[in-house]
Amino acid sequence: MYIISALMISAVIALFVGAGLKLSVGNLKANNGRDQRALLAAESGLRYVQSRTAANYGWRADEGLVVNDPDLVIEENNGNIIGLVRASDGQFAQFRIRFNYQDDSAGDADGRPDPAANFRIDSPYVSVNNLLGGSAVPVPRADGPGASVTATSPTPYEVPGGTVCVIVEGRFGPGLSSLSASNLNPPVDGPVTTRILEANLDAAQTPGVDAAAMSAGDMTFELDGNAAVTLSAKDKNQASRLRSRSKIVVQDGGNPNLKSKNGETYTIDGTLQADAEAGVKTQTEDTSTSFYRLEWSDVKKADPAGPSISAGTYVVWDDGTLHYYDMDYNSYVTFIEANPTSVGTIVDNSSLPSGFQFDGSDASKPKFLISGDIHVQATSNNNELNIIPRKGAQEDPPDASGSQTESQMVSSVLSGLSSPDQTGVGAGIYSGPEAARWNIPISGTIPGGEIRAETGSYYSGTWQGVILKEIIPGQAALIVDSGIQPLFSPSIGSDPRGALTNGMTSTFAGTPQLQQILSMILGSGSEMRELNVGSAPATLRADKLKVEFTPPEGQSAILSADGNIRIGANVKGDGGSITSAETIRLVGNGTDLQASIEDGLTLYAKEDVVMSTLKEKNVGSNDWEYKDLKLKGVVYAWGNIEAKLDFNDQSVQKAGKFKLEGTMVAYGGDPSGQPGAGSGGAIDVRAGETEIKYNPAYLLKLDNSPPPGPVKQSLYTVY
Amino acid sequence: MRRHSRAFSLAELLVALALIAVAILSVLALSIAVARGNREGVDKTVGTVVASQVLERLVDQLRADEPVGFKAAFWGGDFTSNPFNTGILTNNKTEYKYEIFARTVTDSSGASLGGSTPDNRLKKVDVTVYWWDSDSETHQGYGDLKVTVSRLISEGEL
Repeated sequence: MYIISALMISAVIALFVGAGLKLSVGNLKANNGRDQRALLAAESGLRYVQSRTAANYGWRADEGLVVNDPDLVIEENNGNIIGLVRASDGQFAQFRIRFNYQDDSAGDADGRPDPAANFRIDSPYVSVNNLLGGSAVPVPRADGPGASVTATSPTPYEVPGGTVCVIVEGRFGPGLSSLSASNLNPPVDGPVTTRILEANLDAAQTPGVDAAAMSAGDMTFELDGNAAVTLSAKDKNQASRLRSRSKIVVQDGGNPNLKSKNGETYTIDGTLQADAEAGVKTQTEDTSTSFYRLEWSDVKKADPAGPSISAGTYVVWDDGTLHYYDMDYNSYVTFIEANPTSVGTIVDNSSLPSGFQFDGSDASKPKFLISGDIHVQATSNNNELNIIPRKGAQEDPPDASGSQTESQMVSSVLSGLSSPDQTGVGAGIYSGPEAARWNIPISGTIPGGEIRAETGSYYSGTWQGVILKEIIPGQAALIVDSGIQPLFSPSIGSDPRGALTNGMTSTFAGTPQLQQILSMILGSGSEMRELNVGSAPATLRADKLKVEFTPPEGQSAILSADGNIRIGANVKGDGGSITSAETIRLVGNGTDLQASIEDGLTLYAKEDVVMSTLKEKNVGSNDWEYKDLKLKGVVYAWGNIEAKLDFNDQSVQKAGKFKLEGTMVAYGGDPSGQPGAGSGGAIDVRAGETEIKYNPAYLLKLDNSPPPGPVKQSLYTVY
Repeated sequence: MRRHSRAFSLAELLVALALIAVAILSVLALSIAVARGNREGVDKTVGTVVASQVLERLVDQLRADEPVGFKAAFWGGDFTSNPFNTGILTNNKTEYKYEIFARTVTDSSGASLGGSTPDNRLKKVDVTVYWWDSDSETHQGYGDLKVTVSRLISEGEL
């Protein structure tokens, strides 16, 4: 009996032990399943942070309810993030991330308010976003009351600059049964499996070093005589740098031609093409670092709803009157050279805003006074602002490339012509037999539909001409025509091209009409030049016309246009700035422009900034000199920056000095992207003595942080 | 004086045996229930592990863009009704059928969470695993043999 009882009891015990063992193995495996879910939740949190930081390196996790879907809820609250991820089987997993030190009662070292009570995270693992930082910062463990970070909290390691350290807590289990979209962070009421995932995510770009000049393309200084580039900083202890994503070249000038006590140059290959002083250090440009960024939307511009002037070309005549033409520059050049006496619309100050006034009382020294923000209001014809004397303004000496003589222009036109498209009857404008026409592309629209360089009387049979007649926009017929009689030599009938050559180089050479025809065919080019206004009185030159910025103290004077801005005058003043959604060209006898410290910006162009200080020593002498150019502030171009204060030609007697205090940036594209991602990006300074002084006081509006971009994982740990 | 001991009566013996039988049967029933519950846990755990493996394999395929165009197809649309991908995975001689669903995560305004930054989208991926041959097959005592796991995949991790 005892044996039977013992066996029975043993069997029952064995059954219990067996069931217990099986249960424990099952629990082990079930725990493993919960581990997986918790880890996947943590992974989800990491990927959320990765996406958010890539979109904005300065992300602060304080945007409230960001995702609110039935199967995914994510909410941010003052640096803490809680997310619920629900699979289609209905079970929620949770991730929690804390950037907040939760230390308002312990010194508030993180400088931000604690999260709401239901967003407090009782975990010691604190994440740190140092994507915009230039140096490493510690990663603390929260060991204070309420899981706060205190002054004595341990900091076991650091996160490098340009990196975010993310520590995510992933949780899953029946203890989170009360999780819901409206209750993201309930107290745990049962078993919960927690996994901690830590990762470093690195920015593709890090902040770059400060510099007095930055160019996505080549940075070139072409110097005159024994001149040199002097590189310095306002703070003598601070390094002054030149940065180029390509190369830096200082050519000609003295030896050394690059002087600096604390200068550094950064180029793509770490070399410098200059006779530099021994103290100048050469470094390799790190293309993962950023340039100064100033996006168009962040540029302080004149308010379009505020005081404005009509877009067009404003021309100052010798008598001190101001004439307005509702035309862009190229159209005006074409028009005025054909119609040199056209007065346009005479403007007086009553039709101009008070912040933009013209003073022609001294006709020998007329000036514009800009004392407030002025927006250039586009018309149906153009969106530019051009201010020039009647004679125009010469940007380059006549011998400079791009400033062609008439004979060169004729050669260019003729070299592009082959056999006529039509000859004889119908080819000319009067259906006479002596005519030939070439169908050619043109630049822009011909005012009035055609331009005629012609002589004689058709009805008496002495007529001959070279004509450009528009067919459709961008296309025209170039016609050489002599009516009935073969007046050209050789005759058009026997040698049409020879007759045209004769007409351009002899019969009509030097006439405004021929220049107009040539300009329409070749384009006026982007350069400014003196204009052929025939015998019209035009002795006023750009060096005698002044555009002066005179804002009251503490106020700004910003000239803003959506199109090009060309100023053929002496530009000067304190607290002024010019912004253009296209190109800025300042051509005249010197520029002395200083930005306000508050705004910092002097010139900003979405295309190029071109400055020339050319002056003809004596009118008609063909002897040229360059005056000095002084800028204080920021000169910023999406494209190129070009300063023309010298030209290597015998006709140029003197180079100008170039002085910049602040910084200049040729970004090479839209600053919202990477430097050099667009077109341009070169800095080209041709000058005598060149002084570049880095002054951070003008850089307040510039953003040295890198543009957002992918962040890549560089460390991954699970514990 | 020696007392004479009395033997169990038949009735006593029957009652004792009945009690022992009831106890044994109760323990057996309990054991079966525990084993069944335990089996469910184990099954779902294995299913979870398999689903996680499918997720990891998906991430690897996206990184390698294998086959070519796989990545573009994944980011090219949402797959909420029809799966982006299906297949069978064998683990310990059991065949697991899986289906992958994915959708782009958007904020409350409907904009992609990654903003305008290129290659910065975020997808929520659900992997559902079935086993024992049929999508609808049930196992005695604990319903469908199906597990679903989810996680976010960022374009930046690929």
